[in-house]
Amino acid sequence: MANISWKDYEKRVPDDHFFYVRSCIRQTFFPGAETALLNILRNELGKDVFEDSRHTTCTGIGYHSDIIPLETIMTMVARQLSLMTEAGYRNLLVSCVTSFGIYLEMLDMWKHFPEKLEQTRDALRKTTGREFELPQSVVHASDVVFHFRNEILKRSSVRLMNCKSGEPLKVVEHVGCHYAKIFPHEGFGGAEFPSVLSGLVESWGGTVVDYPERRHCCGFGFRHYLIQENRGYSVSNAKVKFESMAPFQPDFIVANCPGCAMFLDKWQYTLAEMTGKTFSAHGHGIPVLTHEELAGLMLGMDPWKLGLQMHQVQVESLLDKLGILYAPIEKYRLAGVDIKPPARPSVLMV
Amino acid sequence: MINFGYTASESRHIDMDERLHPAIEKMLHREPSLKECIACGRCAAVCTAGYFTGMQFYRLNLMAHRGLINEMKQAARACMLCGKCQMTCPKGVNIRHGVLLMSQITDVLDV
Amino acid sequence: MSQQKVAIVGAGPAGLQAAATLVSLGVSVEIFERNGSPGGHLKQWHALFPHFQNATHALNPLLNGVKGITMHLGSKVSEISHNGNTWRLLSDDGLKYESDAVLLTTGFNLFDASRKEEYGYGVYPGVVTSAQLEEMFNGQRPWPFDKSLAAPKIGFVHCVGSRDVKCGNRFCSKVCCVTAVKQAIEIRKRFSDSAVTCFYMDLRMYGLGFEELYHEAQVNHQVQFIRGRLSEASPAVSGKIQVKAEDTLMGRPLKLTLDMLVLMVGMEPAVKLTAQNNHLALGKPGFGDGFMADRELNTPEYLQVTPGLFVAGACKGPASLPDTIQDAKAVSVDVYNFLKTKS
Ligand SMILES: Cc1cc2nc3c(=O)[nH]c(=O)nc-3n(C[C@H](O)[C@H](O)[C@H](O)COP(=O)(O)OP(=O)(O)OC[C@H]3O[C@@H](n4cnc5c(N)ncnc54)[C@H](O)[C@@H]3O)c2cc1C
Ligand code: SF4
Ligand code: SF4
Ligand code: SF4
Repeated sequence: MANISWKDYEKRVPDDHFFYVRSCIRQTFFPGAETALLNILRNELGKDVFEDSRHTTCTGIGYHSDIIPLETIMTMVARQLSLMTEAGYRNLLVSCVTSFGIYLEMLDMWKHFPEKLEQTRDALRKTTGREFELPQSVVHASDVVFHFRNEILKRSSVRLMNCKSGEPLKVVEHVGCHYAKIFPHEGFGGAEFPSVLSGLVESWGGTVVDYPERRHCCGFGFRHYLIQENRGYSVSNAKVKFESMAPFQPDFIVANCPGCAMFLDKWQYTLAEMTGKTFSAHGHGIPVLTHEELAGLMLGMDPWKLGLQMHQVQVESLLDKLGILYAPIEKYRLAGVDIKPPARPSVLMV
Repeated sequence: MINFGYTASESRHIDMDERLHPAIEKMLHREPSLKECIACGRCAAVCTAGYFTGMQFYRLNLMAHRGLINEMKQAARACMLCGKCQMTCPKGVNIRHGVLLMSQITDVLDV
Repeated sequence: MSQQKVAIVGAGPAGLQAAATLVSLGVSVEIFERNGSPGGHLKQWHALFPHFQNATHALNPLLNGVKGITMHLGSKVSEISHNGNTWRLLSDDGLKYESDAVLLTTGFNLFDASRKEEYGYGVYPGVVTSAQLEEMFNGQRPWPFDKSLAAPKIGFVHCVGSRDVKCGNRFCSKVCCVTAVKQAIEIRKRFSDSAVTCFYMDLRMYGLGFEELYHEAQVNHQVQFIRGRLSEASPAVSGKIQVKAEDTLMGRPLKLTLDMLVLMVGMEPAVKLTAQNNHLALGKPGFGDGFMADRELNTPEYLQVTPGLFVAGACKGPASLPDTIQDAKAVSVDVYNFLKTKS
């Protein structure tokens, strides 16, 4: 076994020409995140990103919950790859950390069991008549944002600092478990020193909070929250994390996985209602951003166009710290029409 | 507050940051041989109560040293004070006196 | 008969003892040491297990024993070769020396604790090594916590870099268990309100007086021994360190916040021998390269059948000071007998 130091491990990321696959769940939770990424890559950085509206879920959540069998998910993955082949792309860009793990797992499996690859080719041919090639590279959306972090910084007037005091903001970074814990070589810094988010935070002017439960799972699990009775397990894990980070008084959390971002955000509400406790000084909770939303804010995108009003923990306090201007009145307006703000929670302050 | 149909659990971690309960310190003072235990398990293998209950003296002693005072007190009640354990102990721990103190800890030793 | 000559590589306890013994047997020796001063690791230590003997009291007789013997300091030996009955030694600073035999006493290197990334050595100031703690006892290094702290909490992690295939070291470093117990007692004596916890896998109290020392730590100094290897160390608020381990006797995970975490770093060989014809390079060991008694001694082509090459002390494998001294004396007699057959 090679004795490599993960600290400075760099993953290779292509510079252009990506075939993009979306997250199935994030469209509803944080709908602005993926739009922001495409916007940044295409319009700000001038990259070629191709999307095929015929692509589907990777079925990863079902697979990890023992609902989708291996043969099915292999064929699903093969179908996405066939769309990429048809479009003439070789660099797969994956929005979701679960999907990212799934693509890597299937590719790794096919490498070790070539007969499975043949079976999958067969199954895809029989069901759809399609053929596919294996990708040259698989990168996660946060890899790309990290890769272009300096270009983004150059175009940005925002720094992750408190605009009044000039102090760097204290940021909790949460890297999804399936980003590098399954295949360390596929992540910046491997599983031991994942730098994909901490690197972003630091190069954009913030400091990273190093707290005891930094590596703890957000509690997403898969089967652990599908059934209502099991959710206590999931929420308890999130509680462990919040209790551990709270004494450091972080300004916000950034996560690169749809599941993590959503659970770290929504469970704060749930825990507040269950236990009466919040994890910030004034009862507002700790705002949670995805890496795309953070990049969008850096590039001056409108918070409400980014969909930040969809977050459970309100982001205004963070925007104020960053010195980002926003129109309160636009928060609950859709295409120029007022929409009803959601009901107020009883504990978490909004 | 809302009932979501599930609850948040407390961590199973032993929290060693809590200071040793003063009653435990008193107990160790009253029966210093408790500090000698090396958790070899001889006491538990012969324990009369241990045939039919979860009685393991060395674990009670570990609970004492980890500050798990309530669990320890509860578990000590299984002891029949027969003294078999004491005959096997290589460190000469006065187990019977120890268990007796443990089972009554907050009643006789509290501060 | 002209006086026969032996080159000794390494002026640690093994090299110093061997030099004194060989000279007393009428042999001429010269010592080559890569560092600026002799004494090996011993000169770093404060007090020795199990009787807290002052380390300089152990070192001084060794240094006195080599008075008058030529010692080349700052001379790192990189290569030795033999031609017939003559050994030729070459050092990095360009020294050349010819002798009838060569004795390697190159000792060990301390395991580089930053390789166990999960313990945060080099990242969190409160995480130190056992060797650094000796320097703190010696007053050569500041304490990583405020010394006026009322009740400092200090933890020791056994087997750091030893018994660990991920580090390439399957072996036990032998002296670190008892060193931890010794250091735990010293901490308790220095900071009377301190709380000290040792995280161990097995307590290997192999020597005379060691078990007694362990007993003393447990009973008189209330050192807590928790069977479980630390899983990770992370920063807690205000510069403290939070550690996680399984309390395997309780069957439950455990958390503890500490002011200082001491890593009981193991031993790794200082050099690796590579043979090419009659040349032997003294190179840097790589991942998983064992000690000489493990590998090279059993590799017949260049040790057993190479007349005149000897090894002694901790370069063969983890050893305490008494082990080292005895071995150096015994091997010196082997060297002497070898020279006798030649003359
Ligand atoms: C933390 C710790 C605490 C310890 N405490 C005690 C204790 O209390 N009691 C006890 O009995 N033992 C103790 N030991 C063990 C003791 O340190 C060793 O037994 C002893 O140092 C071994 O002596 P040595 O000469 O074989 O090796 P070393 O002490 O390592 O000496 C080897 C010498 O060779 C030199 N050298 C290496 N390569 C070259 C080269 N290529 N060219 C020239 N020179 C070279 C080195 O610079 C060094 O000076 C402790 C060990 C550790 C790790
Ligand atoms: S005295 Fe109690 S602990 Fe000891 S053997 Fe009897 S029942 Fe077991
Ligand atoms: S026999 Fe004695 S030393 Fe062994 S576990 Fe029981 S009390 Fe402890
Ligand atoms: S002596 Fe003890 S601490 Fe050192 S490697 Fe062996 S078992 Fe581990």
